[in-house]
Amino acid sequence: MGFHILNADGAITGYVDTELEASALLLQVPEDIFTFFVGGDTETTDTFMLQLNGLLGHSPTFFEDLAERHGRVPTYINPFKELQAVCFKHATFFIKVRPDILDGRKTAQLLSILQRTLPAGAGVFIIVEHRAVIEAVDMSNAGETYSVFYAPDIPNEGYTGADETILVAPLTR
Amino acid sequence: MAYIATRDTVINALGYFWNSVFLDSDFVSGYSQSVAVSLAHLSKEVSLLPDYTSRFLIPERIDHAVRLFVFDEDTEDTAAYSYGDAGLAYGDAVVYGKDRTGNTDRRFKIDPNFMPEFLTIKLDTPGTIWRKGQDYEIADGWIRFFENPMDLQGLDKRTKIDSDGQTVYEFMMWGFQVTEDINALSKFFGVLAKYCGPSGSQTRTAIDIAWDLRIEGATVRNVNRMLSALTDVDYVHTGGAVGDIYTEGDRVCVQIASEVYTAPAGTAVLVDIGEQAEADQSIFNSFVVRLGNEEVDFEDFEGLALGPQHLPSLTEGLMFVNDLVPVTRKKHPDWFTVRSQ
Repeated sequence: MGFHILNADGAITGYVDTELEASALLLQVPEDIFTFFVGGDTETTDTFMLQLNGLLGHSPTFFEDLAERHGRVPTYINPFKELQAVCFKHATFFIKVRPDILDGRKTAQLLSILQRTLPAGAGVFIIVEHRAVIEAVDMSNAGETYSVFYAPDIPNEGYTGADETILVAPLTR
Repeated sequence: MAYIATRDTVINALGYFWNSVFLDSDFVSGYSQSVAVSLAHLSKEVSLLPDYTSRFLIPERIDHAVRLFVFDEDTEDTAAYSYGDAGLAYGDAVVYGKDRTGNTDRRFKIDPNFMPEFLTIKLDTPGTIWRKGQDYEIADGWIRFFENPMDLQGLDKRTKIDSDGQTVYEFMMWGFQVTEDINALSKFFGVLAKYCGPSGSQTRTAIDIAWDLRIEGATVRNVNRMLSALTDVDYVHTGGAVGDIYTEGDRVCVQIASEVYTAPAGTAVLVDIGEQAEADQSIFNSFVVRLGNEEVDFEDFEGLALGPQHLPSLTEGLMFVNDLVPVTRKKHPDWFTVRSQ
C-alpha cells in the first residue's frame, strides 16, 4: 500500500511507498501562517505575508513582535497603524488634499518643493493625494466589506472598486 | 532719475524747430512715438529693478509694452459677405455673396485679448503709424483693414508656404500698449524656488513660501502655508473668536477677530461662529496634514498605498487599511498532506 502526497488544493503532487516515508514527510509539513488583509495582487500579498511570518529570512518576525507587545498575536490589528508605528514615526507628513483641487502639475511642484526641504538622508516624506470617487471596494478576504480605496498604480485583484484614490509619492533624499 | 518715456517728452526734448518749423514734422512725430514706446518699456523695467532685490516686493505682473503681430492669409476670414455685415455700409465696394479674398475690406484673426496700436516696421526706425478707426479696426477677435494690406506702403510683408503647400502672404506689424504679461514672476523667481504658475498673487505667495520651506525647513506651519497657497485658501495667521461666516461672490468668508479669511466657494468651514480659532489652525476642509507620529483617524486617512519602492523584495505595491482587520491563520503555501492510496 502506497501513499499519495496532496497539496492544499487536494491535487496529488507525489507518491511514497511506505508508512515510514509518509511519517517522515509529515514531520516536514509547514505550520500555518498568520495573515490579515492587505490590498494587492494575490502573489504579492502572499509573499508579503510570508515575510511577516519570518519565512523569507526576516527575523524577528512581525508576528513575533506583535505577540511580544500584546502577550499573544492579537485577533484584530490596524495595518495602517502598525505600518505607521514601524516606518513613519519621524520626518513624515501625511497630506490629503480634497478631490480636484490640485492638478497634476501643481502636485508635481508640491512634491518637488517638499523634497528639497529634506536634509540629505533624512527619512521619508509621504504625500497622499486624495482624488474623486471611482468605485467601491469589497475587501472580502477580510470577512468584511469596506468602502475604501483603490490605488491605480497597484493591482486590485479581488476588489470591486473604490471611493477614493490614494497615491503615495515616495520622497527620499 | 527722469526718463524720456512718452511721445510728448521726446518731442519736447527735440525742441520747437523739429516739431513746428521742419517741413516733415509728421515724420518726426511718428518717429518720436516709436522711440517713446521703446523708451517707455525700458523705463518701466528700470523702475522695477529695486523690487527685484526683495522677494517680498516681487511684482505680480510685468507687462510687455510692445509685441510683434503677424497676420497671414491663412488666418483671413474668407467667408462670403452677407447683407448687414458689421462694418459694411450701403455703397461699399463689396459684392455680397462673394469671397472676401481680394477685396479691399479684408480681415484677419487677432488674439481677442489685445487691442494694440500699430507701428508698421522696426521700433527704432521711422515708419507709418496706422490709426485705429482710420486704417483699421479691431473687434471680436478680428482686425479689419480699410485698405487691402497688400496695397499699404511701408507694411512689412513676405510670402510663405502654408500647411497646404500654398503660397500665402503674411504681414508683420509692431503693436504697442498690448499689456501682455511676460511671466517674469515665474521666470525670474519661480524657476529658482521650484514653483511656477500664472502671474498673480497666488503664485507670488507660493514662491515666497517655497523659499521659506527651503530656508526654514519643512515645519508643520510652512507645509500648511504651502498647501493653503496651492489650494487657494487663506492661512490663519492671527487667532481669535469666529465672528461671522458668509459667502461673498465666489468666496467663502470667515471673520476671525478683525481679519477675514476666504476660500473658494464649495469649501466647507471647519469652525463655528463664536468658536475660538487659533493661529495656524486649518479652518477649511481643503486639505488635511498629519505627522508620522500623530494619531491618524480613519476619517483623515482611510488607508495608505505603498509602491514596491517602499516594500523590500516586492515587485508590486500593497494597500494598508486604517481600520481593524481580523488576524487569521491559513495554510502555508507549501503545505501538504499524505493520504493512503
